[in-house]
Amino acid sequence: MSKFLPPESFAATGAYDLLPFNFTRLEGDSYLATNMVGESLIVDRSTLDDLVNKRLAPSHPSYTDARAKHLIAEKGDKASAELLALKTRTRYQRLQNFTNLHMFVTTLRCDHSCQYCQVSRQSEDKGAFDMTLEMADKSLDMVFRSPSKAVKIEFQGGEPLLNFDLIRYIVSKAKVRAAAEGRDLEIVIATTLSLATTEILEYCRDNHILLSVSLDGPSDLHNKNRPRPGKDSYQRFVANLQAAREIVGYDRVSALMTTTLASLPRVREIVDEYVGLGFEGIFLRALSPYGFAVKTRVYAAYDTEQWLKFYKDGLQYIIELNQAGIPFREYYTTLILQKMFTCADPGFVDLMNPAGIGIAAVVFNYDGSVYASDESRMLAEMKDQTFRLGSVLENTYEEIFLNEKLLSTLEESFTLSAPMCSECAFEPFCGADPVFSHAVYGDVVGRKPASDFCKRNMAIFRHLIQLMREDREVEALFRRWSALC
Amino acid sequence: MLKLGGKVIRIEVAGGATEVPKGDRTLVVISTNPRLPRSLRERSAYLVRAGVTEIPSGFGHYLQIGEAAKIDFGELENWQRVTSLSDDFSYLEDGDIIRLNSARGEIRVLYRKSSPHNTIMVTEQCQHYCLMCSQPPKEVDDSWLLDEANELIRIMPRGTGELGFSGGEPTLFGERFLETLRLTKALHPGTSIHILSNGRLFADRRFAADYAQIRHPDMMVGIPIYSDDPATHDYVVQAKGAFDETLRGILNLKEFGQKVECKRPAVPPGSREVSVL
Ligand code: SF4
Ligand code: SF4
Repeated sequence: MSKFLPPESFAATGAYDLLPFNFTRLEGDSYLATNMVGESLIVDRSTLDDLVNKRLAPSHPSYTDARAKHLIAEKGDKASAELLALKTRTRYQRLQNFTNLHMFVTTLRCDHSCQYCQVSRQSEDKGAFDMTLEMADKSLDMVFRSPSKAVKIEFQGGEPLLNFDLIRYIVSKAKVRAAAEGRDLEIVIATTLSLATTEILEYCRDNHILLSVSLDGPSDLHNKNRPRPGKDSYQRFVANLQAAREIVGYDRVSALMTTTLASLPRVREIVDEYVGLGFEGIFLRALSPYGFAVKTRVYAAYDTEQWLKFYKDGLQYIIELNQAGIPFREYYTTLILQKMFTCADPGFVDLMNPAGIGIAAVVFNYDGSVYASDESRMLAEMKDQTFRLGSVLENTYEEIFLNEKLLSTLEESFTLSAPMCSECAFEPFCGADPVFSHAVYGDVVGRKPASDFCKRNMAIFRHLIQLMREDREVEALFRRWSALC
Repeated sequence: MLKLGGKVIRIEVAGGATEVPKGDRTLVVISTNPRLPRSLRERSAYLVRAGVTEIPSGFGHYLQIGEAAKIDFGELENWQRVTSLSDDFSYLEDGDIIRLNSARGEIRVLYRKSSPHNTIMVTEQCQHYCLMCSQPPKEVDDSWLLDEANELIRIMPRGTGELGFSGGEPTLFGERFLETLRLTKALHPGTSIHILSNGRLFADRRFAADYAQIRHPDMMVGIPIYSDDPATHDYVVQAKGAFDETLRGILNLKEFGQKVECKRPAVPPGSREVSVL
């Protein structure tokens, strides 16, 4: 007689318990079930009924899936809970590193006067709108209090190149400190490039500085969005982009686009512009509801539906480009896909839980104030100081980062406990955006059914899932995007 | 053997203009992709092969192999050009780069996307006059070749695995050649570089140091040495003192941590072979 037992001896028994998961109806009869670590399963209605009522037969194909993804555990499966715990830890791993991104607003002065800009000043007065050396020193002290091994400093404006001496000062100090403490240092300058000189670019090359540049679309659209004396924003951009690539390095320059009303009907042209200039992807961003954008009612002038149309059409065009042999990615989609396909969190500030404010990114403003996020300082420009955490001149690190408003906001907006989010099957892909919520609805949690943030993201999640279900090729493409980063 | 250069059959400009602009030398990237985004078309030449009937609009240039395809000029803008090539060039593919000289009616293939070893000839000048040289050096100012190399590097597809530089003697351009190497590194950080040189200019420590300062992660100089006997080497390359300078160049490069590959090419009969190096 054989020593081996037949497969049936090991077969699933069908006696199982439910582990925590949420579900939501997709289109038709299909349901999406996910758990807090982002494992997901799509089943039809009757299978879902059987699953939750503990009637699902072990012979059903979804049974094995549900067990492997820790939606259910058979009596005696002890590892499931431990694996869930492990994956949860992986998912929230970045929290122990605390603040990673430190934004320095070196000046508010700018040579542009963009219609949607919340902060810039057309001023020659350096004293009034530039960060001082003392503030820079004090801010750096805060930066190096962060426990994170990887320190990222991003220079913002206004136009940071207008205060390049201060950038040199901060970079040289930060390099010395990072080297002494054995930390990895990454430096980024967010700029329109209009004032980039060979000297500045060579400095960036020699100090391994990355450039994040602004491109809104074809010449007429870009120049309309970004007026400057001479009306030559686009022309300067194209010339300086080439110079930046040739000096600093092709892969050291990335571009960001700002969406405006005028962009909405032109997404294909915008994508084409990016392709034509040799970029490998685009970030189709929503217009932020802050600053002049709210004041001038630009935001109210178009709703989420219109933006979603813009996004979907752009994504469709990008998929077509890939099918035509032109590799190109949409970065917001890529971030979400990473959340869908892996248990690592890409750590995108506007789409993470707990919210990214203060604990993933922090802003050191030109006047010494510290803000919980870029949006927070824009809100402050509109006289709302809710998310001002303190000042580098007056407060200690502890006072700033243990700020009561910051901590209570993080806690209240935590998606695993926020009303609706805690029961939402899309929660593992989504995030908390308390500053948006505060700005638009007046409280940090917000009513999700009325929230544009919720509406926009939920529509995107549904759309991406549907695209992948309809077309295997798109799924394969999306998997490649999520694996590349 | 592929034919890399020669005369074109005909160049025509659309819109009834008979005048072909004189003396212009243009580099164009070949495309066979009818779905290329608009923003890339103007800079590309669409290759029309035999039997193709649908011809996409908006390309800056069109190439047709033989008379196989009939391009409807009515569809084209009047600045667009159609160049007819002989069957010898039917091997051209998407992503290849050619130089068209419309004044002389010449074509030259500079870059082949499918080839793992593309080499750019940056000059025909050299301090040597090797006995067996297949392309004896010329003493003319051909720095336009280096300009053209830079242009090629700017439009070359990303992801090129390796790029070679040869001559003549590429280092004769000195700092200008180093600029070209820096440009290649900046625009194509993943591309390895191979330089074919006689190494003599590296005997200048300053030049060798500037070269090393480029800090390219994968760049190598290939240097031929014909004999371990200076007299033989100098004779083969027809230049007195060449051996000595080349060796000092290699030593400098090694001192600065640079990759050098010494080649031992076949030497003319009767010469002493390299034994110890
Ligand atoms: S370039 Fe930037 S800082 Fe300047 S006005 Fe425009 S958005 Fe504001
Ligand atoms: S914001 Fe909306 S989509 Fe996101 S988790 Fe909350 S309820 Fe779900």
